[in-house]
Amino acid sequence: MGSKSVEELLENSVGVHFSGLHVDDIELRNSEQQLLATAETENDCREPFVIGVAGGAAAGKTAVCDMIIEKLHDQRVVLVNQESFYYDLTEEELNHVHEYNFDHPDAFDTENLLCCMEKLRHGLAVDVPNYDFKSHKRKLPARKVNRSDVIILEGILVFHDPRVREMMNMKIFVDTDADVRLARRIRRDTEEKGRDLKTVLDQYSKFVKPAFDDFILPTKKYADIIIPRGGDNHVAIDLIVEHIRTKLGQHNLCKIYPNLSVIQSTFQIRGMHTLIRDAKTTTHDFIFYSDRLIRLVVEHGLGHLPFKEKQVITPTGSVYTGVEFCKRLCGISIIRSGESMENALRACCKGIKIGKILIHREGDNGQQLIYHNLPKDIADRNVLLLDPILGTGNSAVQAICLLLQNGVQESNIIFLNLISAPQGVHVVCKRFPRIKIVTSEIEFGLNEDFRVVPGMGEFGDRYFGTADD
Amino acid sequence: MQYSKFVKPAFDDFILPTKKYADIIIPRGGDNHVAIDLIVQHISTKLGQHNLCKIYPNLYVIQSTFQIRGMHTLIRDAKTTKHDFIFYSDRLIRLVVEHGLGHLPFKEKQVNTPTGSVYTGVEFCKRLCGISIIRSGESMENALRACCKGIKIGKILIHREGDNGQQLIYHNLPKNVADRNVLLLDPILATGNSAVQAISLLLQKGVQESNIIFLNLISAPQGVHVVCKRFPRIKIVTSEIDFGLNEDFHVIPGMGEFGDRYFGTDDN
Repeated sequence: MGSKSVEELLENSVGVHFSGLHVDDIELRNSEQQLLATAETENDCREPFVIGVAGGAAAGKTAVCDMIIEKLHDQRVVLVNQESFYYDLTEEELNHVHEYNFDHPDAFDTENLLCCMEKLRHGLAVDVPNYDFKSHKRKLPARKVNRSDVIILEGILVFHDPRVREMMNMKIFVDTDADVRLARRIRRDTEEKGRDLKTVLDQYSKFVKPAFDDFILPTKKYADIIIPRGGDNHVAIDLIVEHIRTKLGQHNLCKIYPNLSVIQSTFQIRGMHTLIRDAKTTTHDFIFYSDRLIRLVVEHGLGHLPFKEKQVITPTGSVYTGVEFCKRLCGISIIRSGESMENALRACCKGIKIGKILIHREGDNGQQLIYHNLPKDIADRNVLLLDPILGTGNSAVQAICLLLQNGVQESNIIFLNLISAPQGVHVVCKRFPRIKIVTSEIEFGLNEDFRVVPGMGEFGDRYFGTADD
Repeated sequence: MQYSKFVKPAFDDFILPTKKYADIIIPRGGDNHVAIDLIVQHISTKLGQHNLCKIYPNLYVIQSTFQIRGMHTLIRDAKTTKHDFIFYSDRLIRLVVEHGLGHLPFKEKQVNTPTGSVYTGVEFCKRLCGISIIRSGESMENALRACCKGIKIGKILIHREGDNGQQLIYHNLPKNVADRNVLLLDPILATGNSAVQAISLLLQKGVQESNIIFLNLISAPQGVHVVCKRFPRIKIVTSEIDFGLNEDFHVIPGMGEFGDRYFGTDDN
């Protein structure tokens, strides 16, 4: 077998994984979405969702990736191909290129792949090598890949290295029978590339089959999902795409703490947040938009209360099967900011009992509970704990401890916030895993003064008009 | 003994061959949290989505919670007092309005917070108006005003003669309605006839079809079909989709005559 035919072989096996048309498509999309990228908040710490797609050559990996990308058309999706990370061949190796095993894990520059994936995961743009399958060298310019929401890493051996596997949120193995894969290969090579059957079969038995048995098949056990029949399997693709969409919409913290619920963001909600965060917003507007947001948080929080089924007769004489509200409910506001949420709660729940907790902060460290006044039968009630800002979580922990001491069930507490810092969420959710937190936005973090950033300043002062200026 | 005699042959002969019919294969069974999570998500998405939403991408049903279903239970109950009817209708309408406002276009805006950090947010679309279909639609004006201070609100009156003929007999719209995003207000979408008349009027006045958001409290599938088929670019936001219409063209299970119950003009 001369070197020419090996070249063709490689080109051919490349065709299996890599559709050039597709890459153009993605790059076009990326350039369009650079515009959109500026609309993202700078503090958007959402990590992209990483999917690994492995499987034998001609198993239908590309078809699966194409379908996933097509269905996620409104997301920024980038396809990274393991074959872009082939090592450059030396002159020596080029002379004996037919003896070079391109299906071996050592043929790939896995360190470089790891480095690129790590950057992409942290929202940085990377240069993915542009491997030329004719010269077996990286060509310039490299392919520029921008930050994206979904990264699909595709290739025959992407599950081989444990460090690469670790990065993946979902591992898919496309499982197609060996005979089907061979049949596809024969059809493609003889009809599209005009090769004779013998060459194709020789190549298969010399390179493709041993590589599959020794390296590819053993990685199947790492897969989360095995897709039989590749790209024809619409149910599987649909299921995967739905899952990715759900995960993308969630903040990272929501993936860790199932009891943390962030209300679905719309442009209207982001617009209201923009107004209340702006230092130049007037007190009047600050109160108006805070109230509107608080109302949405309260409504969302009420949605987490337990219920009983109830049937009623409508004026048209039909039966409507609905639910009855949970009656045993009270609000507890953490003085002073929490009191700003009482109006919205009263507007939704007429005559609701509202208790108070005052925690005084001495300096920056010591916090002391100095006053509380709770409904007498609080132990039997569902409690909506009100505090618009969750910062370090210290006062929240003190307030929750007090509620538990008074006999409230941990799972009966719903903690309502307007904005929450990740630190506070960690503190509260780790210590009280059964408490539900409902918030409208999760912030970037805390600054050295333990203030939430970007935040909105001292909420109580701005809402009650006691700011210095 | 039992394994080699029955279990293994049965697996090889009958169970394994059926693997090829599977849509997905889950390795490692119950330990595989990624796969289980995926399947649960998929099922709940399919269940949560009304069939109509799969057909019409511009139809939005606000996410149902037990609180929302509880409010619906109250406003649908024939025995609910007028006071409670208004209170819970208002709460539901407010949620529909907030959801509807979420579909408006936006512009990016960066602001400085009092902590000195930059917050990258958005600016509201300014060119907005409400159009209420008299009489029921007027019940939604308060909620809209509560969210959008000083918003211009136009009116359309469609008179129903008998059960068939519907006639547009009055309208008063903001002069520059053609340049605005329009929130069309009507709590009940039944046959869709009056909605079609109202939307046709708006289009005649130069409003862009894609700039109209139609807000409902409850919608009958018939009305959704009529509106979405004829005006595919309009967005409909509703809080529940009902079973259908009865022979009098009333929504069932419905809530009766919304205007009469809200404005207290029912007979009893």
